[in-house]
Amino acid sequence: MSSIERMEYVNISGPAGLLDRTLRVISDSGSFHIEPASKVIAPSEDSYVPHDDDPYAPALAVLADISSMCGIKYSEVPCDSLKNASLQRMFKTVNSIKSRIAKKSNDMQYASDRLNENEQALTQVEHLMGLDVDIRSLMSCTSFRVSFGKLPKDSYEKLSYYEDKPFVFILLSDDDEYCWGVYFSPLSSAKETERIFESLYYERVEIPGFVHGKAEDAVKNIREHIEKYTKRRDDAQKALDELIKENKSVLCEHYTRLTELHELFALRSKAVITGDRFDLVGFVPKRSAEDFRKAFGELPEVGVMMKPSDKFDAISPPIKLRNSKLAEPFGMFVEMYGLPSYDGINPTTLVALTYTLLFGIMFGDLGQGICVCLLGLFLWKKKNMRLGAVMTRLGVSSAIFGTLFGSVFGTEELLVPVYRSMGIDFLPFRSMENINTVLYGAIGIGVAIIIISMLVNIVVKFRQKDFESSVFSNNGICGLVFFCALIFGVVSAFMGKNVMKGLYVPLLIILPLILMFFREPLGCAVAGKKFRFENGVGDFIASNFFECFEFFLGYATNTLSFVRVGGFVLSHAGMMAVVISLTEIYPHASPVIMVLGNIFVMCLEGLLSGIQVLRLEFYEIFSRFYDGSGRPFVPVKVNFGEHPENT
Amino acid sequence: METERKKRSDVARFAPATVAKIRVLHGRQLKAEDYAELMACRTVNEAAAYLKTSTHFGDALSAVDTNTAHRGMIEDVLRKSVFYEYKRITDFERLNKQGFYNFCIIREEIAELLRCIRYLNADDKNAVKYIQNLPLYINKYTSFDMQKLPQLGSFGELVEYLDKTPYKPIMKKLCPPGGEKADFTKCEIALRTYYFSRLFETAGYFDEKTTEKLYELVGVQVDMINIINGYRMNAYFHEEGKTIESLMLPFGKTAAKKMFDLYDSADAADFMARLGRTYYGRLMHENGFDAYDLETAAQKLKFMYARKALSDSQEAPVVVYAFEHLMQNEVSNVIRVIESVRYGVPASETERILVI
Repeated sequence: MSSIERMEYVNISGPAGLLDRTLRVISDSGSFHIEPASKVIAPSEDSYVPHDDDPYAPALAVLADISSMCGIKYSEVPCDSLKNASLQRMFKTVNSIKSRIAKKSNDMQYASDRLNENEQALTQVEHLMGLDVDIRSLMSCTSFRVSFGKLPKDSYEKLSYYEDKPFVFILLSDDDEYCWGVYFSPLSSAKETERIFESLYYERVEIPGFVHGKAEDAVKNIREHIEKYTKRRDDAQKALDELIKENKSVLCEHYTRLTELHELFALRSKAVITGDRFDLVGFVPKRSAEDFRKAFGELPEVGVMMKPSDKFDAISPPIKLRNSKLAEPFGMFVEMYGLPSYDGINPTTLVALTYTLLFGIMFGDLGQGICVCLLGLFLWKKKNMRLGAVMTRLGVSSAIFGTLFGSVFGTEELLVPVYRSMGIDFLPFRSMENINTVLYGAIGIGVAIIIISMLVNIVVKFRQKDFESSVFSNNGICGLVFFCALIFGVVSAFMGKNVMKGLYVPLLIILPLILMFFREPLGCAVAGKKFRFENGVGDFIASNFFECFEFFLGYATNTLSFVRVGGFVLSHAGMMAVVISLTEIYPHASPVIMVLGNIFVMCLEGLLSGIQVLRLEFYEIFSRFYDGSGRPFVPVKVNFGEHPENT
Repeated sequence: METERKKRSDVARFAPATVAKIRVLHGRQLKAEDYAELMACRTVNEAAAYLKTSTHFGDALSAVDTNTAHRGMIEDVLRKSVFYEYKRITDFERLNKQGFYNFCIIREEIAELLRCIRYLNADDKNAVKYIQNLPLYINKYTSFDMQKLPQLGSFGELVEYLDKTPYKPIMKKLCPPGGEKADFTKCEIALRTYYFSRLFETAGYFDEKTTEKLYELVGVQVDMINIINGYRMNAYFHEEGKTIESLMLPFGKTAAKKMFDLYDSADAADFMARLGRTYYGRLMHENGFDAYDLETAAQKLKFMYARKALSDSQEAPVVVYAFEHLMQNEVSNVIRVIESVRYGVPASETERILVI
């Protein structure tokens, strides 16, 4: 059965000097949910919340730098060797590793930069191969403006218009798009020449300072440099890789230890220090309370005071759901909606039963159910997916209902001989031949589930001493009576018996309706409070009238909503009938059609059924008794996964 | 003639590969979100890099260094890519053998002739600018050598140079005596009239359905030209209806009487009011085009017609003509955006004048 874990409120008090050790103990226990002590103990002149600078941050920053420099991903590893290591020593170690890595990294970067430089220069200079003059001596001409560059090919053709202008352009090479060359112009007309070339989209090419000699020699020289810097870069990369390999385990150890210390240090801000003593508060599951107390055996100066959390009003306890093994996977749907309040109810078992039942009905097929079960088993065991565990249960339910419907991968004849040999004539149940039964049955299941939900609400609200909700609301006793009376009346009328006579209607329909109308004042009266008409009597009457109408409508729609269960039974059968028909039309391809058709229907119907049942759970069931306002129980634990050092 | 007409209409009907190819190319054209990305660029080089890496202009810009290339060069490359795309489309199933499909080249020839006339008429001739904008990439397809145009000294020389081209008889009639400046407006009307006449004539060689669609598409374009010019002459020059009519293209989808009703408006406000009562005015209003920015509204209307023709037609001439218009429109949009980025115009203002 599902329940909410009972919690003990814990107050830990001790000398301020033992705060860090205390935090270590509660972290190691794995069962302590910490709350800011300032919620309980207001900071004053004598007391304060410790907000010290994190001494471990610089060391972690160094680790982050190392990670970004060489892409190391740290992992959690045993770090017993660093148990007694001082922060200073650890910082020195990681810093020294960083310096060595940085040096190798810089060497590599230098070689890469020179390599890029030379490669770019080569691209430029190769285009000047036709030039049989020393490039440097050309660039140092004093009487002429000399410019190396490239012109789009279209623009090169337009140079002929400027034959009378005082410049010469020498074409050195060309490719598909550009013509590369050099132009000479007297200094006196350099500006005009520049304007002309600019209009032709001329792009000047900067020849790097280290390029000397004729183009051919320069190219040879640059190629040698490229070879040299490529080797240098590769050697530096190799040395860096080796350095990283040598030091990775040391780095991971330091990362683990420093992260642990850093996280524990961060928890200091949850304490309140009064004079020379600290206080920490939080919650521990009642079942683990004794073990938790024993963990402080080595710290006799630290006092641990516990009391049941229902006797403590200042902070609402966190929620930890306790579920049976069968129902546990369905907890993910409950968590999706929101955790219950501490005095609420854990609906996981109800979800498990209703979800399994409804899905099984909607997806009923023996063969497909087994496939879903096996797939779920694989996902659960191999991939550790909670949804896989859910699928195993749903698969079993689908297989059971599939057996009842006589459907095995869509064929409805395979199980007939089995039933006949057992002397069972009324099975298998053919859904397509009993459409009314299917739909009425779905509504019947819906009515039952709604009634159960209302009963749960009544119990929970009574426990919470909320008499308005438990008795007079649309989900309380009045609503239950009204709903049941209506349903019984309608069903009886269908069956030819009129029960809506005598006192039936006044007592079971009108009276509950009136009580629901006056639920607020009645609730206040029972709770001993005074009721006030906030916006006047008229507003009270009007709003409650429409609310009661909404309740009535809600009953109708919520009930009819369950027709979809029957609808999906029929659609599943219909879709498989189409697949079977296709195998009959194309007999030579029937195995392929059968396999693909079943896969398609399993995926489509599986997804749709899952979503629809979840919708029914959330809208038709949860809305009746569930508030989802709980906070999760999160025990103090060092989290290694999501750190800036590791991204 | 009948055999010729039948042969041509057969070609038009049986160019499904071209139509399919155009639809694929149309699918790659820039969409609203691409323009939004482009407008978000902070510099021209960033915009060029975006065009190179994330749009179908990547091939055209592959050899261009977007970090250093001049804005004008990038715009030239884009215009050139549109022309070459058009050539590839018409060469694909050898549609270029058909006279109709040379409309793009004729339009470019006329544009260059008008540019040349403007240059010859200019008091302060900027030869460098004129040469810079000469599209030599179409030179090998034109009926005259564009390279010689900057070397001509007068309108008379231009007329002589156009010997053995269809433009000579048109230009000869407009040749002013004694080296005076040519009337640019008359030249423009004459050349445009020639262009559209030729377009309508060659469109008539196809089957009835194709011809009808082409007439509609081209007719709308002519109407838009006439409306914009008519508005300008009315609003800025306060010309009379008859004068305006004489300077308009004598074609169009709309009846001459209805167009004259517009030309004969009292002033700009009256013109817009009358326009609002026409089919085009109602269409602009229905589609949310701001009729007070008539240029952009007219462009959007032409764009809308072209896009509809492209999606609804199977006839190659219609699809080719419509797509060529869409390509030109796309390049115009991109150039507008690049210029906006260059001059720091807010994206919201640029978006208003984009035709998408």
